Amino acid sequence: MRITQNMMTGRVMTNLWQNMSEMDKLNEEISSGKKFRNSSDDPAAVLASMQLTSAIKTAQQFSANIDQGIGLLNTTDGALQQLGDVLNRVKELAVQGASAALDNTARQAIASEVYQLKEQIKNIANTDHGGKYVFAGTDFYHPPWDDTAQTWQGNGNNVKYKIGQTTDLPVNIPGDAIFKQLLTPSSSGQPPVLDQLIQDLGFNPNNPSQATGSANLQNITSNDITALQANIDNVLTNRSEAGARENRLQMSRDRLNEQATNLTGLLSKTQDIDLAQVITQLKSQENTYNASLATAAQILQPSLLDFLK
Amino acid sequence: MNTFFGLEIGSRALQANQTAIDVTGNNIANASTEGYSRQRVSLAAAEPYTVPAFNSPASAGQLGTGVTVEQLQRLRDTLSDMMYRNQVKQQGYWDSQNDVLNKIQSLVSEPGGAGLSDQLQQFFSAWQELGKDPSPANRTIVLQNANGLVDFLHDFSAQLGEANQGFNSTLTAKIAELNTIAGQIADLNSQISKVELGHQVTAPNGSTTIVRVNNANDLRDKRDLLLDKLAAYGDIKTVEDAVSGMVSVTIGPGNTLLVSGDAVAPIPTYTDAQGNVFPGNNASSPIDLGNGVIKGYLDGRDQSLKNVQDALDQFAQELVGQVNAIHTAGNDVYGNPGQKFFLDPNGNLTGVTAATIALNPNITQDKIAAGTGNPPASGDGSQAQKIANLQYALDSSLPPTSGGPLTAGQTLDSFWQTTIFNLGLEGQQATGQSTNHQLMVKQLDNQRQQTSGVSMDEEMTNMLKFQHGYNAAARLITVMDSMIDTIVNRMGITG
Repeated sequence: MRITQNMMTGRVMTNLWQNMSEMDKLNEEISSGKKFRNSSDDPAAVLASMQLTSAIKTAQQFSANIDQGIGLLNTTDGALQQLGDVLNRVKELAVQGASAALDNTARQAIASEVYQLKEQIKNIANTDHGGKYVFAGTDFYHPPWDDTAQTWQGNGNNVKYKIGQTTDLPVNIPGDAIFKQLLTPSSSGQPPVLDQLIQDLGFNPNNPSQATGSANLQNITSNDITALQANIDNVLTNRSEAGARENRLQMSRDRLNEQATNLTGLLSKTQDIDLAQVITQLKSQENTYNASLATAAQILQPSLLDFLK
Repeated sequence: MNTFFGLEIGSRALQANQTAIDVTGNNIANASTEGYSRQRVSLAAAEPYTVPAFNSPASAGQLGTGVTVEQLQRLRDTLSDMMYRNQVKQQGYWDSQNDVLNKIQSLVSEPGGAGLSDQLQQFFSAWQELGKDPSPANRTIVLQNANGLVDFLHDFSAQLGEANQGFNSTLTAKIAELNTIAGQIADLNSQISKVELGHQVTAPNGSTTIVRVNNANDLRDKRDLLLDKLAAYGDIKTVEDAVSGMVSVTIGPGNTLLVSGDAVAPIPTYTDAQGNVFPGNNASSPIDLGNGVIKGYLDGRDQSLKNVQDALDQFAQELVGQVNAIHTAGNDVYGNPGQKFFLDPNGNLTGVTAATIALNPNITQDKIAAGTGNPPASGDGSQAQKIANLQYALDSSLPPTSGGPLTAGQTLDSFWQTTIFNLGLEGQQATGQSTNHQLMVKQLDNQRQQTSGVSMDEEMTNMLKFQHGYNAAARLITVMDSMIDTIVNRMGITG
């Protein structure tokens, strides 16, 4: 085979360029920390990394939804606990008030306290979490209890947050089924239980300092206390519902967080370089480059010319 | 036998060796000249003295009359030339494909932030927030993120359009280059035929031979170099006319005549309605130039770039169709039925592209139909949630009904990912092929260089050889001189 100087220099140049471009690629990997810059560098890995990024963001979004949902349910639970306490106190008072041994003054004191507790229930009904009324159903920007009109404005709809691609979870307990019966007369015109209690104690439900006539102690024992207990049970049921949802949200959040951690690890494996490995590669590439430079300097120099006199 | 015959032999030898040294010098001087083929002096024994005949002296045998320079040859391997040009055309094709794909990829900005995926994610997550809490603040964020997405699509599609224009200018320039090179080849054809003066000679026995007065070695080198360059532009075929030495060049599978003798037929271009440049007289008679730089840019523009543009348009249509359908089914803050969220100028999706997608200017934050009912409850974000759900699955009951992500069984996100993936595959192939062909071109060039390249060692050896030849011839003349001196000056003198 006939070899010329030009062929040799050409080959040396091509190989040196190739070495340099390899080094450049490794250098870029090290400085960017990523295995690829363009999708053509490794289409499958790029696709995987895009899918993983998108999955991580989705998980993060769900996780944020869950955090907000837990916040709402916490407030709801706290409010329901207060309501339970209030109702238990009312029940206590009802039991006291049913006693025939009490005189009028004592009954009036009980009636006033029940009246105050009713005001407190109204406040609890309008509990808000960051400006959202938690018992208003989906109409959470309006206070559900309108004290001027003496009406319940909230609806019985659930506010649903997304915690999975196909899973929604209600993050509220509509006050409809809890407060409405405590604050407004039933459809048959029956006054709410606290009003009935004050009335049965012999006072005006809207102004407990005003006596309306004789007390109806029999009704307190036979109806009011039962009705109160039914409400207390109702609150408890709703509290456990709220607690169960909170639990479920927490479990989902744990799962999502774990998922996000796994996905992030996977993403890192897909797109991040192994620094130790790449630096080793770079070193070995550098050696190759140095060796090729050294040999190039050796072989390109001599020709017959050097030995002619 | 003439007394001075020996001097004549010496002088011929001096001349021949001098010519050989000149050629060697020329080889050395051009060792690094692009396209140069080494030349060789072809020496031959001169006509012997003498042909025996009735009236010729009957001396022993035929007496040689020295050396003569028969011709100056250039050493060239035409088969390797052909193989080389075949590879050069493939390299040209993949290089330009690679160029196109690199440009598109730099515009796509995927993977990594600031791409369409990211914008889309933000758009949908704003809807999801609105679904949870349709407050004025969240409504404003939806509008802002929607504007961000729309702006991104506009910019992106404008950039792709600019890239398209760039490829058109490149094509125009490349076709002009091709025509220039073809013109230069035609010029060289004419010069070569004038220098070589090739003609056919018919011998008395009827056989014909082609005779050239000169070998236009350097002109032929130039022409071969131009043919090497021309080969990158398209699939060329060359035929050399045996008598005149002119090559005719045809291009493409249709064998379109490009150079014929000293005439050139430039490749015309036409522009279609979209402003795209093509080789050919008009759309009904395009010229296929075969694989090469020009086809690479044409394919890059009409396939790779267009695929991305089409995908982007389908993406925009799917987005507009689905979001509008859900939005118009809801009610705004006042209970009015939702208006179209995005504009669709033709009342359907036909006029919607990534370049023209626009928000309905009537939609202010309170006109976003986040819920249902008249008016919807203050916290009702059910419709917004439905729009946010499009992120995970498109609704097959909503338009558009053909083309785009939905018919491909994908979400907007995965549709775009697939587009990027396909683009990456094309890019990977182009890069790989371009590197491969580069290596092969290099190898074939080396193969050619084995024949045509100048080797310094060889030239040095030749130089020494011819120098010795020259010295010996000079010595011969000195000897002849002293012989003649003996006869002329010393013979007959006695004493």
